[in-house]
Amino acid sequence: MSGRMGGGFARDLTITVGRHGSVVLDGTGIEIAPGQVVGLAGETGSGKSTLGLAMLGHLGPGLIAQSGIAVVAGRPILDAHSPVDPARLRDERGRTVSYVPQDPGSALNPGIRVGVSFAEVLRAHGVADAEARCAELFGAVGLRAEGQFARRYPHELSGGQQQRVAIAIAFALDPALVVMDEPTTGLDVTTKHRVVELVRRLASERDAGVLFISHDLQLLLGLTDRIAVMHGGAIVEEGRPDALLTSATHPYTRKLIGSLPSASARPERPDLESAPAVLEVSAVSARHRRVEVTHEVSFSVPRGGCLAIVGESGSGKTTTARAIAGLHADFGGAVRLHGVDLAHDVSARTQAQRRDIQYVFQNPWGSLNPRRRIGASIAIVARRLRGLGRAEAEEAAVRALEAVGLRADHAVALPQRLSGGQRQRAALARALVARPEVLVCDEITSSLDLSVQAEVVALLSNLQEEFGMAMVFITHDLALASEVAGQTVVLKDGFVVEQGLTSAVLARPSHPYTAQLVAAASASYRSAP
Amino acid sequence: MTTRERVATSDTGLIARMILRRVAIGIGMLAVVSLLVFFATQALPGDIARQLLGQTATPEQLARIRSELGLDRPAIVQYLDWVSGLVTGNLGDSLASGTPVSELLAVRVSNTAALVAISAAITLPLGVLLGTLAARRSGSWQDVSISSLMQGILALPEFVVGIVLVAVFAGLFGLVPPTSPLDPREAALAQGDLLVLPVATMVLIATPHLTESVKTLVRDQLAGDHVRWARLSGIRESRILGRYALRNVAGPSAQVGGVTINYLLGGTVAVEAVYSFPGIGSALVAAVAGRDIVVVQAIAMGVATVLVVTFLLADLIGILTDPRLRSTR
Repeated sequence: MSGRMGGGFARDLTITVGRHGSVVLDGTGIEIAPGQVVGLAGETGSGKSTLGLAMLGHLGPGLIAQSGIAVVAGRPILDAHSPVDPARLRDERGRTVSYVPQDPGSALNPGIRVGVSFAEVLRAHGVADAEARCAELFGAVGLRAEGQFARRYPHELSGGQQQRVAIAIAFALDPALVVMDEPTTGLDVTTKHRVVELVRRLASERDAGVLFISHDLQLLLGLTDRIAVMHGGAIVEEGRPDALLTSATHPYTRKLIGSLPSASARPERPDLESAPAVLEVSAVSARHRRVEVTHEVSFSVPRGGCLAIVGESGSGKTTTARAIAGLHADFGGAVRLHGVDLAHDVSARTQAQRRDIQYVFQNPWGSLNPRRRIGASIAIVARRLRGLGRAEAEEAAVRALEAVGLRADHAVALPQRLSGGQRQRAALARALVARPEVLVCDEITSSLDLSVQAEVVALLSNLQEEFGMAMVFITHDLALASEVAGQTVVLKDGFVVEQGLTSAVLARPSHPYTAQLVAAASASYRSAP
Repeated sequence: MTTRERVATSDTGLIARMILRRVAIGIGMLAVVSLLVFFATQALPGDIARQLLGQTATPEQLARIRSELGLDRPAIVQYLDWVSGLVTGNLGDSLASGTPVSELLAVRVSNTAALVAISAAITLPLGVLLGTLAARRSGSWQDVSISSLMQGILALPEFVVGIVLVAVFAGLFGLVPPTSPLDPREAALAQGDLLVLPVATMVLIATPHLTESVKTLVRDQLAGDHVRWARLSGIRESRILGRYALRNVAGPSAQVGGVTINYLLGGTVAVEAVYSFPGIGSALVAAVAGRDIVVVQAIAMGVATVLVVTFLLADLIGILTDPRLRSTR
């Protein structure tokens, strides 16, 4: 089964930065048979995206293929020793081998309608009946097939819908191989689950090989026929999911398996129950353009306590978090800090109130100024909010970096030098340097590799105890909530459907939606054979 | 879901509302500008009557001219009188010559309009073209040569550019006249040879800004995820450049284009002085020197109106080309 007709393989691929630079891929290879879903797991920087893109004949800027070959449907796509004709390569891409990007929100052209995006790819390969194919494929991925949907622009779709559009386009020309680069990052659990099922179905129905790149081992265990684990530019372990789970030998694989979130909740610290509330959210009904999106959401967080807000995208959890921070001012109800009503708009809050509530955003790529050194980004917070002098602020920035597990020399680096996990740590350091009473974390781990995610979660728990902060932890992952938070609020369509100790919510969900979430959180794990 | 559909179907109504909003903002801005212009010229300390008549004027003469010009009335009354004149098209009479401002400036307005319009018609496509060429392959010889040329020109003051052009094309080669004293009885466009050097100067001083901005915009688009994805989907480079990069920078480029036109208008002051070009810029310089505040006010308001309309058009292009702008607020 070497994929003569469909599927693809790479052999002996060595890719370096420049001619003599560091090695990104170290003589590694992979094989994807038709109809098979092969998972590629590994941390950022392990080379998994480079390997995936090599299957499309694409090398990132500055990368050079030193040896090896990538073949799809029997034809070379990348060959270190005899360059592939660019015109043929262009024709193979999209037709023989296609790509589903990590973030369809930015990969779909914002200026054209999704139906046109679909037709563009068909047109590029000389296929005419775009409209009929579009209806067929949009139907196949569970999007409404009628004309009105295809006339929408990417920004008018949810993340899950955008990803379905990208998947529909990837399968449009019946390719032999589809490379999916972290396609479920940023999707909520239920949507993620549906996308995974869709990928499985399309792969077998259309007899396409799928190379599914993900840092989410739990997801891969339930989805794939085989999993390859990458570490340091080479595949260190490969096998069927069940075999991998039980008899992995490589230390990195074992570490990955070890960092899978367990389904048991973190023990609640009973002393917190009686502690006075630092933060009170009282009947907050937030509006977006006069439409009420949350309905009388109320909860309180004691000093040193952590509360998770769990829900799908669109459930109002981020809006609630933004209302707490004063970033979303259009709401009824009250947010109280130490019993004092806060102004709805952050610009009307006092300097001390602003300092006391710090916010860490979901996307560490967007929340740090790309032209400013990490240390300066952190120091300015210390100067503004704590009134430190220049030298003191810089020292505080370095201490904050060290507290989150970065080094002092990261202070002089620009954000682009840092990996996603490091960047999120830097964003965390920026929040911590203000010495907040309340830390609001908005999906801060959703773009991180699983093993990094586990580290950040552990870090958060430590920091919380060290600084005695209260924490509001927004997540779509109930399993993750149980790792961090003693209490959980479950939001659905802006309503609180469940509220209480996390352990109780997990063990005895009272609302059907929560039960569904609990099931989804462990479904991919349990469905692994 | 339902709100999204509503947004998608009511595009035209939404666009109309957004345009109306911007028109209202534009009118508001002009009102603020009118206040600034008026109080910066007419109501500031310094006796206009004395400056007109000189130090030897008797108090009776001063009083008479003040009441003739209405300067003895309260500032607010003068302002309202002036604004109502502007709205009805009566710009007042020049203090220096006594002729109506509209008559005085008519020819100059058409001269400067020709100068700016021709310059813009060359600069805007040229800047977009050069910027796109430089952006296509960052670090290529096209990029390096275009960027260094533009930086070099940027570093020169505009009058130096003018003098060099005069020295080379009028002095050395004698191709075109060194100055541009347009004949007021003929249309500016009929005297093309006299427009060559002023237009060339304007184009040279305005193109670098536009080129650099367009280059940055296009380069950011080409480095974007959507372009990478288009490449990985086998879409042709020419189409990627047109549909995935240039189309998406139309809105921001229009804004930069507006700034360029603004810059060209400002450039007329220096360029018209260098070439003795009878336009609005040189009229403004003369009016300021001669304390002819009625003329100064008329020119300032005229230029402000042109700018407000320019940016309104730029906004419109942005709204029409970027669907995201249409779905919020």
